[in-house]
Amino acid sequence: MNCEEVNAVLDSRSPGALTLRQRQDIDRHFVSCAHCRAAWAAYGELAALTVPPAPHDLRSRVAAALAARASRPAGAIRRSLVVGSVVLAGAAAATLAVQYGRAPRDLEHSSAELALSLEPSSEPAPVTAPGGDPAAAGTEAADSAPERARSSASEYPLDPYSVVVLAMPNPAIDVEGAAAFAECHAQVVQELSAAVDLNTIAGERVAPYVGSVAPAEETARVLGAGTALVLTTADAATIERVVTLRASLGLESRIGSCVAELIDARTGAVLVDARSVRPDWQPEHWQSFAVDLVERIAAAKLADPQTVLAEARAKVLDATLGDAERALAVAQLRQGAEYSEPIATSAGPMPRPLLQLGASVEPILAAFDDAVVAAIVQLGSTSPVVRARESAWRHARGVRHPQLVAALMTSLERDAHPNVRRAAALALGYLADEPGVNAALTRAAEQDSDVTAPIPCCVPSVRGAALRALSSDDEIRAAALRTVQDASLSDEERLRPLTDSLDGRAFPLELDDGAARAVFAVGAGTADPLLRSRAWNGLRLTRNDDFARTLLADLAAHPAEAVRTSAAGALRLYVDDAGVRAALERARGDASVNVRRAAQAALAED
Amino acid sequence: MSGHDAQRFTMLIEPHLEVLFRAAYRLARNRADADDLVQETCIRAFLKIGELHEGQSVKPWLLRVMHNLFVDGVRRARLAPIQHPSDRGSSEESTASAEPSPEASAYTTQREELIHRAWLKLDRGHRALLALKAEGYSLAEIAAITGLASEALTARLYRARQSFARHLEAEQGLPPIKEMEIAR
Repeated sequence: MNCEEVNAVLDSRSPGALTLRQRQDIDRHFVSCAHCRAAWAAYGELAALTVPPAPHDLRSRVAAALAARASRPAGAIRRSLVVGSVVLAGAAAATLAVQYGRAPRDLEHSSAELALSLEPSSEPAPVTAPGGDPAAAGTEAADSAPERARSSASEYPLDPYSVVVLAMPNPAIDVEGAAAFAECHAQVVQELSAAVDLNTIAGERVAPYVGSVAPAEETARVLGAGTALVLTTADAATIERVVTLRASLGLESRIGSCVAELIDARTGAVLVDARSVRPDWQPEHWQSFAVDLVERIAAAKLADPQTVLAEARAKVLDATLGDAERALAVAQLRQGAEYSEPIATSAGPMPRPLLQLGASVEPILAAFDDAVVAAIVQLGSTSPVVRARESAWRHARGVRHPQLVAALMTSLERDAHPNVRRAAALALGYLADEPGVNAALTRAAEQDSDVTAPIPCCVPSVRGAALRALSSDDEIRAAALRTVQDASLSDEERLRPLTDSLDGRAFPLELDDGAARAVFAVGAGTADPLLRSRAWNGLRLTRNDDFARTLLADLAAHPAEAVRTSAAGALRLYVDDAGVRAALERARGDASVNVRRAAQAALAED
Repeated sequence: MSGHDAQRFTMLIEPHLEVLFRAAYRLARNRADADDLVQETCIRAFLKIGELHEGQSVKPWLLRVMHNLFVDGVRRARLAPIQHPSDRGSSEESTASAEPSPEASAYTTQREELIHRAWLKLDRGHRALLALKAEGYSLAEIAAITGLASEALTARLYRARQSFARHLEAEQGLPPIKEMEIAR
């Protein structure tokens, strides 16, 4: 590479997005070219200088300055703020109401919130409130919107059925990735727009806010929407990892990625988190991703928790549905932190585990009434579908009911399939103090015919599962801590207990000082951004001031978005430190929406 | 324009104030001048609202107003004076987040002062380009903000970095890079 090429590459890409080849070429050029070396070193120092957060009173001072300027005799141009009515009020749901034939609920309110025109008399907001006079609604909105909008979000209701869609792709993504992302965005907006009762605010109407450092939930609040849907791309390191993995298998990659987060505008809580990296991207994949996402959004937005529970219960009890579908519906009767659960299939021994994602930890106990437990017992004991029997036992973990205890013991002793007996054993681990359970588990640990782990690292044999079930929570935690500190294992194996669990017991893992230091050492010593971010995620429950400097450095400057995000999360326990607070405030201006949100969440811990 | 207009305009620009402040701070390298630059930008934008077309993004438009304001040198008198780093805001603005050693603090302060001096010697147009680049804007975004064609932008960025490096070396008391090479 010559000077021009080096500068072109470095100017157009972030350091994290450079290929290994490009990095090597640039390094070689720097060795031979003192001009470029000095120029980029000087610029690096300049770019690394920190920027403090904007003063808290900046908004009020700007407002005061504008008010003072406005009160002067105008020599200024007097024009209608067209963009005000088009962008802000244009987000009003009226159009959608016409397009989809039904008025979104609370339409009057959301329209009023959105109608912001400098000159309402000349450019009234296009409000068609059901049963109301459009012109009157527009005028009223214009009169009252600024006052309401100035107040905090909690002081005025947001339209719970309005969703602001913000597309924020990683600027470093390649051309194919960008095309895939655009497809994903288009599909999601299309599916959302077609969903009855949802008011989708997207495209040009949110264009002024795309790329803003303001958190997505803040943008949603400005637009009067109760929800923000942020679409972004996977971290470059994740994509690179997938490409490398596929290349090692001799497979070509067409990379596309789409990460979707549905955020409650009032609280900033993530309601739905969906991720898809499709090395073999095809348009129909995005379509199915979008359909699935919209179903989840509809479930999250259009039904209150009691309705969701009632529907899940109805599914579990509905004998006309397939057994597998009924057993999966049991999962909806659970809540709590989620973890990845290694599972085995019927395909025989496998080199690496499959992960069951989203296995929630805590059962909602009130949801497991006699009828539901009876249905679970019927599914787990008699269904001809192995997956349904296994799933029924998995999702019944932590439920205590005499009928269930008896059925689990019978299944452990007699079921023909080891996957089902393994699930029964692990469920009995939660019930080891019930009469007869200890003896049943001991028998299985000594006599079950399944003695070979289908996946040696991660999924045990039935005997192994029974042994684990006989262990106390303290013993399981101690074993996990030993794994974390076992230097003979690979970094990936050592960090596995932080994210994976066989059965949700002793999870999330609370680290003692030695284990925390071991996790920190793995994170600090690895060049793999995914492992580093996993390590920092594992330190979220542990404070050790020795870690702060590295976490701060990563938060400020690590090229991988995932690492900056996890560093922000790990620093949540340090927010009483002024330096950490300042760093997190700075991170609220990070280019990545995930980093910004993690920083904001960490600051909220104070 | 009425006070009501001002309120609504404030609503429009509010989501972008943090972005404006960051860019302004990159340009001015001190909080007070950054503050002034943001306010001046907002007033200028308020008066030029007619230039904002339907469908046009607000953020790049505001940044463009700020860029022009800065490069035109309207506030040269306020922004130019060299300030000692200790005058440039509270301690929370310093680079190190964790507690540095006294030696490290002294080094950081000296280094920041050198950078600041070199920065102020830089042509204002170059400063604007480097500030936007350091703030993470893409070439396309910078081109939209500055109105430069992409080829011209790349060339100017190159020259801006070279120029800044020369000023920084001069501030360090080192001979410029060409002289160093000749001396060898």
